[in-house]
Amino acid sequence: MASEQGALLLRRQLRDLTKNPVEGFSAGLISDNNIYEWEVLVIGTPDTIYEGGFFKAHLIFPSTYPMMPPTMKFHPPGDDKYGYEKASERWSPVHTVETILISVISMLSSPNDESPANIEAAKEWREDYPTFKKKVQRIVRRSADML
Amino acid sequence: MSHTDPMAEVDLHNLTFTETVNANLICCICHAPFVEPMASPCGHIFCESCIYQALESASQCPVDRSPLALSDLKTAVKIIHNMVNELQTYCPRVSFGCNHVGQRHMIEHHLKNDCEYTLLPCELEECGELILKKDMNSHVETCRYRMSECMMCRKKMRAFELEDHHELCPAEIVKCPHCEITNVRSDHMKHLGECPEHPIPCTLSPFGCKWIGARKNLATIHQKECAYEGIKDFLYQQKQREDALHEELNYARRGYESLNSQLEGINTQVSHMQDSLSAMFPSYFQSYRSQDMYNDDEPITDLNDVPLSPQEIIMSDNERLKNDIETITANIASLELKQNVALMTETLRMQEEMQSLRALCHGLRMQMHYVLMERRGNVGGPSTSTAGANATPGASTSTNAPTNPINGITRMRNWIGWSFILRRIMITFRLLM
Ligand SMILES: [Zn+2]
Ligand SMILES: [Zn+2]
Ligand SMILES: [Zn+2]
Ligand SMILES: [Zn+2]
Ligand SMILES: [Zn+2]
Ligand SMILES: [Zn+2]
Ligand SMILES: [Zn+2]
Repeated sequence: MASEQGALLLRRQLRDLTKNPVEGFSAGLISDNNIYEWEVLVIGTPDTIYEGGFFKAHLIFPSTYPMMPPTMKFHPPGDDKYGYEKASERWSPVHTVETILISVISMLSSPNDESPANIEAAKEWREDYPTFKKKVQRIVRRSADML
Repeated sequence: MSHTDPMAEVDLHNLTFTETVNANLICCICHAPFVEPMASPCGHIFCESCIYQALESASQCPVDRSPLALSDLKTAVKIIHNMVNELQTYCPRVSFGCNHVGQRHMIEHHLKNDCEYTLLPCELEECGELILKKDMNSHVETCRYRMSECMMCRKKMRAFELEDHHELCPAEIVKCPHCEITNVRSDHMKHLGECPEHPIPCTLSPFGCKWIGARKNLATIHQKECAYEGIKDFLYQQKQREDALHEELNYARRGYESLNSQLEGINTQVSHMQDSLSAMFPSYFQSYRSQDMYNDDEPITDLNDVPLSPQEIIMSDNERLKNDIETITANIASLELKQNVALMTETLRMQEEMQSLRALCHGLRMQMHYVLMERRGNVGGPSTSTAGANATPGASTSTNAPTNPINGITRMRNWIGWSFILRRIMITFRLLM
C-alpha cells in the first residue's frame, strides 16, 4: 500500500488542480500512464524581471513520495544556466505540487542566495544585478517566442 | 487464489465522501480524512500510518519541523475519531453501480456482507471467473462449466462439452444415407457393414477391377460380367506365391542384417585392437590402419599388394636390430684392438724416452760430480792442471781468489744453469710418471 499511497495522492492532486487551477502555473502529466512524472509551466510573476516569461519544468516524483521529495528540472528555452532548481533537504511530507510550485514562484522573485541551485547565476545576481537582469530578460523573451 | 482478493481490506484513504470534509479533519500528508488519528505534542494530527512513515524519514513534525519521536504520539481525542468515522461515504464499488451510502466505519461491513457489486469468483474451480455478487445466480445457471446431462444417453458432462456431444452421442438416432433405415448411432456402424445399398468395390479390386457399386449388386450383377472373375483362381495362386516369396525375402533380409551387425561388431573389435596396438607401437600400426581403411573400398586383388602383418613387421624389425647389434659389437672389438696397439706403441715410446732421459741424467750427474770435484780440488790445494799452470806454488791460496775472479763467476753461472736444467728434467719425469 505504501507505494500506492503516493500514486493515490498524486492522482488526487491532479484531479484537484485540473478542477481548481492555481494562479501562476499550470500542471499536468508528461505521459498519461505515469502519474509520477509531471510537466509544469510556471508563469513569470508580474512586476518582477520574470514577467511575461514561461518556464517549463519536469517534476519527477519517487515512488516513496510524499515521504521523499521529487526532483525538479527546468527547461528554459536555449539556456539552462538559470534554470535548475532541486527540491532541497528542507522537504516535508506535507508538500504537494501546489506548495512546491508556489515556493518556486516566490523563489524566482527573491532567489535564495544562501543555498542556490545555480551558483554561477547566484553570484551574478549578487555582484552584477544589471547583467543578471539582462540575461533573464533575454530568456524571458525567448520563452515567450517559443509559445 | 490468483485473482485480486475482492475481500481485501478497504483502503480508507481512498474513499469518496458525500460532502466536502471539514479541512480540520484532513491529514496534511495523505490529504484524506484521518484514519486512526494520532496527535503530536505540538498539536498536529495525522493518520497513524502517515506519521509513522514520515518519522521513518525524519524525526520531526512534518508541519512545523519541531523534533518528534514515535513515542511522543498519542491517539487523538475520541471526538476526532468519531467525526471521521461518521463521515458519510459512497461505497467504493460506486463505479460498478452500488449506490450505497453509509458511515465510513461501516463501509467495510457493507462490502463484506451487503454490497451486491463486489466481485466473487465463480464457485466452479475450472471457471473461476470474477462475477458481481448480484449476477452470481444467473451466472451459475449459464456457466459453461456447469454440470449438465445429455437428454438421450443420460451421460453427465460440462455444458460446453454438451455442445459437441450431439455429434457423437451414441443414443442419437441416425438415418442410413444409403437405404433410409434409421438406427441409434451405436448400431449404425454395424449396419454399414451389411447395408445392401452401401457402395463397395469389387472383391477383385486388388487385382485391378475398378467397379464400385451397391452391395446387393455385387453378387447378382457384377460378378457375372467382371473380367477378372475367370482368372480369379490363378490370381489368388499368384498372390499366394508372391506372399510366400515375400516372406522368404524378408527372412533372408533378416539373416543378412544379423550377419551385417555381427560383421560390424567384429570390425569394431578389430579397430579397438588396432587402437590399443598403435598406442604401443605407434609407427607401425597407424600406417597399417590407414592402408586398411583405404582398402575398405576396393577388395584386394593382388596378393603382392597385401601389406605385411604386424607380426611380420615386428619380426623383420627384430632381425634388423640383431644385425645392428652384431655390427656394433664387431666395431667395438676392433676399436678395442686399435686402442690397445696405440697404447702399447705409446708406452714403448715413453720407455725409450725415459731411458734416454735417464742416460742424460746420468751424464749430468757425472758432469756435476766432475765440477764438484774440481771445485773441491781448487779450494783444498793445487790438484788440477789448470790451477797448477796459472799459479806459483808459494802464493797459491792467497793469489788464487783475487786472480781468478772471472773464472769463479763463470763456474757459478754454469752451476746455476745446470741446476736449472736438472730441475726441468725432474719436472718432466714427474709429469711422465
Ligand atoms: Zn507539529
Ligand atoms: Zn494521512
Ligand atoms: Zn456497495
Ligand atoms: Zn462460472
Ligand atoms: Zn448423449
Ligand atoms: Zn443402410
Ligand atoms: Zn469386378
